[in-house]
Amino acid sequence: MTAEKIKINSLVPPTWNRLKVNDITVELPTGSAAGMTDQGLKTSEAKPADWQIDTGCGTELSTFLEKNGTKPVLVANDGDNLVSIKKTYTENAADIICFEAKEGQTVNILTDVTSDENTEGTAVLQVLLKAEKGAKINLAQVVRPGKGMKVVNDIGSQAAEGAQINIVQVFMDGSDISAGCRTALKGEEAATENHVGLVRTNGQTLDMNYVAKHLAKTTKADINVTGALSKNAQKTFRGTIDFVKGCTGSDGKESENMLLLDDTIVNKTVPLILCTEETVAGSHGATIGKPAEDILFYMTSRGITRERAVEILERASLEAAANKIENAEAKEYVLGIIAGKYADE
Amino acid sequence: MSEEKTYVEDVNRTIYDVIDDDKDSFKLEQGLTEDIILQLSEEKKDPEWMRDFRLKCLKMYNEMTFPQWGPGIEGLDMNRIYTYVRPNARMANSWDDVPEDIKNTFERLGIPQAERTSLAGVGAQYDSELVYHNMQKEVEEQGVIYTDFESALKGDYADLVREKFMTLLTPNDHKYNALHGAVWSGGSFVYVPKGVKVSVPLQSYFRFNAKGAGQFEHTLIIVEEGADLHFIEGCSAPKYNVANLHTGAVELFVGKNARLRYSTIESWSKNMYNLNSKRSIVEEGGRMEWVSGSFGSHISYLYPSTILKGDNSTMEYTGIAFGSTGQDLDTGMKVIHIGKNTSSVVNTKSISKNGGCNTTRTSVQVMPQAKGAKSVVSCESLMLDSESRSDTIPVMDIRTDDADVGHEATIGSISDEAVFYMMSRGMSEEDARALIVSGFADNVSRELPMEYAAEMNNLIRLEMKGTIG
Repeated sequence: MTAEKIKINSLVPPTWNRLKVNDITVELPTGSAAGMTDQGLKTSEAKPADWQIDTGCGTELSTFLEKNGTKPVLVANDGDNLVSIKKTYTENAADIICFEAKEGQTVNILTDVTSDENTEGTAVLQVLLKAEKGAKINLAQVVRPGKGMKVVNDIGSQAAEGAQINIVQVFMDGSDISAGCRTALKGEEAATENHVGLVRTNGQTLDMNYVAKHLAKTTKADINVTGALSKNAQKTFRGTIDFVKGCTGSDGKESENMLLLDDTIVNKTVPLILCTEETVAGSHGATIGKPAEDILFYMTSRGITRERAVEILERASLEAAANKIENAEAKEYVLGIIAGKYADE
Repeated sequence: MSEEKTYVEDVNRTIYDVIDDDKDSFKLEQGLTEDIILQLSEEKKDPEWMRDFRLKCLKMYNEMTFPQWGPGIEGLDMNRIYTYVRPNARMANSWDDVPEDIKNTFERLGIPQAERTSLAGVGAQYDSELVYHNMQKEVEEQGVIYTDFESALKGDYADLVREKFMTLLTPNDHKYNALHGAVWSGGSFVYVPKGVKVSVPLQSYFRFNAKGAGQFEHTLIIVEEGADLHFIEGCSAPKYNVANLHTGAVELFVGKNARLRYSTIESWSKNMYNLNSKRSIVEEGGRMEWVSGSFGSHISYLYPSTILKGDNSTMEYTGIAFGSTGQDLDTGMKVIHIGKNTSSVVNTKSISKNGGCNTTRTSVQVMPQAKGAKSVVSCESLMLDSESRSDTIPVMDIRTDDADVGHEATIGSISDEAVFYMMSRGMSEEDARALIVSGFADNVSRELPMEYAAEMNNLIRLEMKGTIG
């Protein structure tokens, strides 16, 4: 097996090199087969030309997938029913799956990727989304690989006039996860929301690059990250609100709430706001620190050990995101996974 | 219905754009070669170690790459820059001894008047050398040293200067620190002894006159334990149709329980590449305060940085940048928390108009040992039209759980609701908009002595006209 090193999650524009946040280099195995299309889905081959959508991980990843021979696959949907893709990786995999919401349609998607504890490899999942006029796409993702599986989870999406794209992601377990998400708000009054819940511990890493590009008037974006870090975990969050000239009346927000649970962690946050339009409103807010002592005291005074209290806070970080899932079935499923993780511990 | 956009007048540069005849000044030839560095060193009568240091820096400069981030500096050709221009004047400690044309330039800038009314001492640099330096006798009697850098290098404090020179801003930090190390000339040395509080500010003013030249002054300030100082830096230049370069370096050492306020009003001309570096290190219980107003230059890279080394040390940064036509101002700050219970408070504001570009670039790093660190960063940007650009690029790198870090950034235009509110109470729309923009810049002017706040207000004289249809 051969592998290729590529740079993904590039910060545009870049900043000081010494901070090591301008991009991340990942090593991806070549020749990986598709792993997601054996799920009994109704699929058809997607024309690559129709799905040239910029993604959060960036063009180097898309070029790599093309060279790898990974073909985009269009997944059929029948309206409001949940399209559910659950995959346990057993080897290297690379997939591009595409979803389209026609005018006025609502499409609900759930992806859940995991792997056995003994599986070692790298999986690349690129999800491409198109929402036509007045359509809505709700994507819920759980990324919870085993210890030996590295995952690159990449999203590119486009929203036409009045369309809405809502993405909820829960990242836990595994070792190294890279995540990208880029939404182009192309039509007037298009909107997007990102809600990310993450827990990284025991040397796990998560590198993220999220971009909302406001290309039309009165578009809205809201990127939210909540999470907890402990035991040598590392997380980098790049979030970009990009107001392009002509997007008058647009509104973009980013917020981050990170709990830092010991002093072995590295938490990097890079929230960009880029603006070439006058009449817009952009904002970013971040709160980063340890759990409030009074909360921990309250819990421990009621017989909860400090370790258990920390677990409760971690779980709350994940559930804060999961509770934003609009589709009831997907929400119940994701909350169940989170409950299962903490029930075992 | 037509809509006339809010009009904000460009900075009134009349007093800055006066050019003196420089036929009598001495220049080294353009470019950056070992021969030029050796001539410069000879001209400056450097000690041997400094000559060797310059040559080492030149080698480093040639080996380093240009920054791959920030505004483009393709228009800056070092082969066309005069790195040393000595005015036809010796340094004086009376304005009467300064040549008439140079004195008149500083009079127009209000420096002698400010010295009489509100300063404890003044250093005035003209191109590559200081032409005036003076300090009040009372301050001198407190043991405060305020002198030109060349004198400091050879006088009683020579060992201290050598010990500290370019140890905070090291030549291997980046290409332009290396350049500074190779060609520095002029600047000030300030030493405030233990426990001495200088109640009135000192000021250095850097005036550029020569076309196509560079200015590379070095400022070194040491504020000992329990001492207190406010230092003001001002700079300006007339506009030319070729690139000028400013690559100064400011190194600030703030002792235990000492306080240093460093205020800058920068009004370079719009052909200036302002690639300037400033860094401070703060000991236990010390406090560093930055007040920064960036109004001029074609390209700016300016990020005053602070190392909070000592426990309970603190830093406050208040800055504003005003970018208009032909300007790309990349400004901001950096702070590194190392000591326990350190804190930083950062407020940045930017105003972009008429195609001007502002980038606010910040970094907050909290190291694992910085238990109890607190940091609050606020970045506000005001866009006055859609021809301009405003970017905010903050980074937070937190490596301990025992930290409390907050960051907020906002970008927007003048609120129609606020204008309407004020108009409903009898103000004209022009006045309402002017008041809002003036208020936006108010937090910086409030931090300056009154005379300098007035200068800043002159620089951002915001005249409004027009109506919303």
